[in-house]
Amino acid sequence: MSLSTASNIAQSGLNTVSSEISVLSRNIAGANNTGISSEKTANIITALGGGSQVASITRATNLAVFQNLLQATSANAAQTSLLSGISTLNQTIGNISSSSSSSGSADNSPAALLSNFTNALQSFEASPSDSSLATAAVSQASALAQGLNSATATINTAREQADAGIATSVQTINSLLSQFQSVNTQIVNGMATGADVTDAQDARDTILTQLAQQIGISTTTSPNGGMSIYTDSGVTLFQGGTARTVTFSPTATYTPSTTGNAVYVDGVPITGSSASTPISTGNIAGLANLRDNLATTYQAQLDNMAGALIATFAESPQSGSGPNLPGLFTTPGATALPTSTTGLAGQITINPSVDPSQGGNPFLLRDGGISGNANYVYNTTGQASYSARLSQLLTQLSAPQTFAADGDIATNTSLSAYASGSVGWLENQYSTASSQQTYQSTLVSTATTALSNSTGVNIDTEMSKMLDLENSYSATAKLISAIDSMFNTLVTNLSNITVPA
Amino acid sequence: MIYPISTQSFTSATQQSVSQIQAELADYETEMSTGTYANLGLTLGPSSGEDLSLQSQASVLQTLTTTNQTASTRLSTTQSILQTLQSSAQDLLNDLLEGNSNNSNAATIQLQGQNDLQGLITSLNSSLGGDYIFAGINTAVAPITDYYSAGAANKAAVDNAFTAAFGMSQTDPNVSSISGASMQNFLDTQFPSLFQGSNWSTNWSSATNQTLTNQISQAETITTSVTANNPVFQQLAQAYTMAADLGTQNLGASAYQALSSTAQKLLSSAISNLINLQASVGMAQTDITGANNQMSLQTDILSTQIGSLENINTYDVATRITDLQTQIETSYSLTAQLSQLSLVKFL
Repeated sequence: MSLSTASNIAQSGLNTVSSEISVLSRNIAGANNTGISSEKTANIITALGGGSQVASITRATNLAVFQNLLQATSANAAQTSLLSGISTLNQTIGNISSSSSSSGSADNSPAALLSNFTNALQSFEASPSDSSLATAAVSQASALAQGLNSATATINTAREQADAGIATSVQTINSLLSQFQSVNTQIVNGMATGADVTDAQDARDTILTQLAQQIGISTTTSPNGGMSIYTDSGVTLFQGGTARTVTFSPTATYTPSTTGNAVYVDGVPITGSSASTPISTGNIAGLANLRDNLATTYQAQLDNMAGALIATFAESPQSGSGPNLPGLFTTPGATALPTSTTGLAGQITINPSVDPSQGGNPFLLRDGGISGNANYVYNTTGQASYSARLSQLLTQLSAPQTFAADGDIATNTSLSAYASGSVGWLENQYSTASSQQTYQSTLVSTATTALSNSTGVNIDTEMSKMLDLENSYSATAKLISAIDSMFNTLVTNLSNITVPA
Repeated sequence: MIYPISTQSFTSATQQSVSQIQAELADYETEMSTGTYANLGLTLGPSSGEDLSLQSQASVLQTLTTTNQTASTRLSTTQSILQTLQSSAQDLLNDLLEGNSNNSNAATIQLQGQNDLQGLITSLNSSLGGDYIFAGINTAVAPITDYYSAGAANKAAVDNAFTAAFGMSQTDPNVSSISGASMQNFLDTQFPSLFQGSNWSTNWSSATNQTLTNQISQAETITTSVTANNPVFQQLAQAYTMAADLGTQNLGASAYQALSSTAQKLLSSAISNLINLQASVGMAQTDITGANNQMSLQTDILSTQIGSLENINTYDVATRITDLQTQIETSYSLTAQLSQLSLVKFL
């Protein structure tokens, strides 16, 4: 052992300390990153010859907690997009509070409009000769028809937004997958050469959390550091260093009969009824659920209501046989009753022949013959207080009828009960989605905290480490200056020695 | 070994709770000011449908109560008209009874008969809000033909029948020669048929036999008008026409006697029928009052049910607001203190 060896060892100590400080400053710099930023540790080993050296840099990981975070993120994203879609649908209901319905402005649900119309009809039935009550009944009918029209428009908008959201989401997924591909390659190559890949690993984890927002995923890691990604239903998104292509062709305009396109991964559908392994979480799953199930069920309920209104107010021939003809409620230009309810809520309107604002006669509601056919006139003698037709309509309106099962609510009930049932159904979806979303976002925040706690940076720890490193640096520096002075002493003494001749 | 928690979660812990508390606080403030849940649909969920159907039941009751007012007004108008008709019939009956033995007050009786007939026609042609209340369901047309208008069919029919029976008009002074027996025969056979069946509906009345009906509560539908085709009005018209337009003031004593006694019989029968009619109108009025009372009770129950769904407990919410205020203040002071807690400050 010589002084120069000691000097070399001290020098390696200085190098080690400065690399440790550099790792430490990277940690501090990333301490408040919102993405994945794990604590890095420089692993020090004793080098040949007794010095120290940084063998590798590793990062704190917690795979289980990270997987939890991914799952919670996907589930939360699904519920969030579903909830925002339901909030849009909820515009068709407005404020259901009884205090607001008395002012008549906020409560615009089909159920409330139907109740207003029934009341107007009831008043008209009590005084069938009163033209202002007749006009009021017709204008409430018109408000009801318009309410159903605008509810359908809202549903179409919600589905269009969901479709556009899926398109954006698919683009994001493809771009994230290509980023993932390059980072993954970097990691695999870096691990093979022993380079520092910790920052790339952080970047890869950040991409995964972003991806989990859009689509539910699970991952596996191979021994070479490469990663594969599968959807939560098991369809491969990324494997063997190659990203699969996610495709979707958006539909710009929705009508009640439109069926949205499915999202495909490498040609395999992952949403919609054609998917054998549909995804269950992530933004796309929430949007597809809204677009394909929830909104269409709600639309079917509105269509059934519109169909029931048209059928209830249809007029029958007063002598001989013949088809029933559309009465107060009809679809534009219809000369017969509709055969299918699909999309009726969007088309339903009141017959122009009863609408005073279109030059019609509101008393036709009392007398019949709205279709213009004289054989369908009920009040044949034209008596001013003829109420039989109106009370027949009121009876039919409150009688139980059979609704199609596609509305997913009670099928054998009165129209008003069906309408309130529909509101109850939607609000139930709303409150369920809302509480699910609250629950899932709590899970995300818990998982984020857990991950941050187990892998994140604590500045206090870093600072105290820095103090240690400072001390160790000054001690090493002291050592070097001691060695230096020892060499000096040696050289000075050597010059004083007289070499014997 | 104690693992350190990361600085990020250490400082963001209070942020999350503060934003959550602020959102809750905003909701509770809305609830305090409105008295109902901030987001009713969200809170009620599946019960929203029940809430709406309770509201719609309450509004049906409200509508029925309002429409009952219309029916009620019509019935009380009808009642007071029937009362007037009854008292004028009674007056005529009294006068006929007074002059029973002779025809000295025949001229008065004839005049009174004319007034009563006009009064009957005016009464039966009463309208309320543009609707003729005795017209059955044909409310747009005045039900009774005015006997004194030019070319009135009912007057012409009476004239024709009189001329056919006695060979002279009622104004002919020779009516004094009509015997009591032939007058009695005319009054018992030809004359009554003028006020019945198709003669009545052709010459006198355009009212329908069908009366107005109103749904006065969710279960009850009652008759809420009296038609001018009611036999009691036919009797009255018959009695008044008898007194007014059969040449009464010029009749001989026996013919007047026959006329007077027939009119008396008709009037007393009509008065007792009127009383029955008034009783049935009164029944309808009672029914409406009863229905209104019952519906007002139902409305109260419904309001309570709606309130129990929609309304918040103000004490509860007030307590929560205070709690949240305390919590949010604690969070603020914690945030301030936590930011001081860093090793950096002490180096």
